[in-house]
Amino acid sequence: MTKGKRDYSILVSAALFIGLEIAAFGMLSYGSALHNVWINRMSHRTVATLWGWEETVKSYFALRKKIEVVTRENEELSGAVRALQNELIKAGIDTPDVSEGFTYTPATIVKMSRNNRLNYVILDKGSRDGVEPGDGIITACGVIGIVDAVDEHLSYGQSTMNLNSSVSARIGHSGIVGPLSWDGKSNDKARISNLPLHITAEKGDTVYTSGISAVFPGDIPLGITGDVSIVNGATNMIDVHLFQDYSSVRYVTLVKKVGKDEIENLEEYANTH
Amino acid sequence: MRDSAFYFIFAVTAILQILVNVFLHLPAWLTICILPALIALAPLRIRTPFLLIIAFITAFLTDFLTSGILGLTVVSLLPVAFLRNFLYKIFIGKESFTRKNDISSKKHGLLRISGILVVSFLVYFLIFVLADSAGTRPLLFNGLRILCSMTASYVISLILIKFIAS
Repeated sequence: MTKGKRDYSILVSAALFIGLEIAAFGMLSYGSALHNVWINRMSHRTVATLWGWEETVKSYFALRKKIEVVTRENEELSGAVRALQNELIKAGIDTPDVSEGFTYTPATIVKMSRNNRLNYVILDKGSRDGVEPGDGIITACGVIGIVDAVDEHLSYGQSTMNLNSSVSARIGHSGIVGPLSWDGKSNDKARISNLPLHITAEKGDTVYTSGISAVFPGDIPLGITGDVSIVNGATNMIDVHLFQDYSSVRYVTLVKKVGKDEIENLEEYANTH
Repeated sequence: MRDSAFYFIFAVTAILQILVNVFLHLPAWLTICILPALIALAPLRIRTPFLLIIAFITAFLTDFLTSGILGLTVVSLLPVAFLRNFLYKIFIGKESFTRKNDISSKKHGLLRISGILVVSFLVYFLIFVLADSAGTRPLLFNGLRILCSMTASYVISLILIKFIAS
């Protein structure tokens, strides 16, 4: 028997089987009230299960839309908090500085490279949204990069997974500060290098942003410390397992230091005099 | 086995089944049914659609003539007919299946035949017992009933197969 003929035969058998089974269940349902109730209950359960699956699939595909809505709401709420804070300052009421001298703009990653040595990220916010070169790109789990160039609607950033990037990091809330840079190999590993030999760290300590640069706010958790090794017999290097999974990141926040121009002018003045 | 011989044995066994159902009063935890064995061991020349129709008519007549619940045996026996080719391919092999060889315990061994019978009875009694209880009996009782009915029907079927073969 050829394959086509065999397939046709299986289809006919299956159709006949389903038809006869339906007829049999019909007889069973019609002939006994108890079985009628039982079949109805089974049918309702099956339908409910199928609806449940359908809802699960639907809600999974609606997640992205929901995240966008939540992000937009978050942006609006942050704006409202900042406006309220300004009003309080104007009214002369002392208020805690929740933004710690930074402004925050939510953004979505349009493109992100992960397989090169000089990785980059492109975001959907540009100069029209107030983004400037030198702004930081962060998430709740860590630092993503620094904005390098800005277009009207898009911005291009150097990813932390870039051999030219480094972030000022601190081990613990009040530990030693050092430059954290990508190890050049894995998606979730970095290292703090150029530490004096007497400086070491316990395995499992949390690493935060130091907050001493004008790019990132302090105390953003970046990862946990791993092994400590000596480089060229002169400095210590600490491995860091990052919290941020770069393969799944999609939504980020752009941070800008308030009064950054003032700091840069001051630096420029100090360098020239 | 010739087709006419099979139909004769089938008719006699179906009548025997009806008589057993009518006159033999068995406890609630035991049901004897040899129809799955007849359907499962039908000659391979009989194609699945035709076997489904044979199963439907036989089961319907059994239900109708034994004042049982109409449709109960039909619902349970149809999957056995539908799965027959699949079971043959598993237990006997594709080659015998393609050649449409007759199935016998002498040719293929009792173990393989038993495999086909056990799976057929399991499918049949699983559906039969669950549909018969309609959610009113505990799982333990249903499990015991399936086990007892399968064992009894399997033994009777083997005796019948030996008798026919001799």
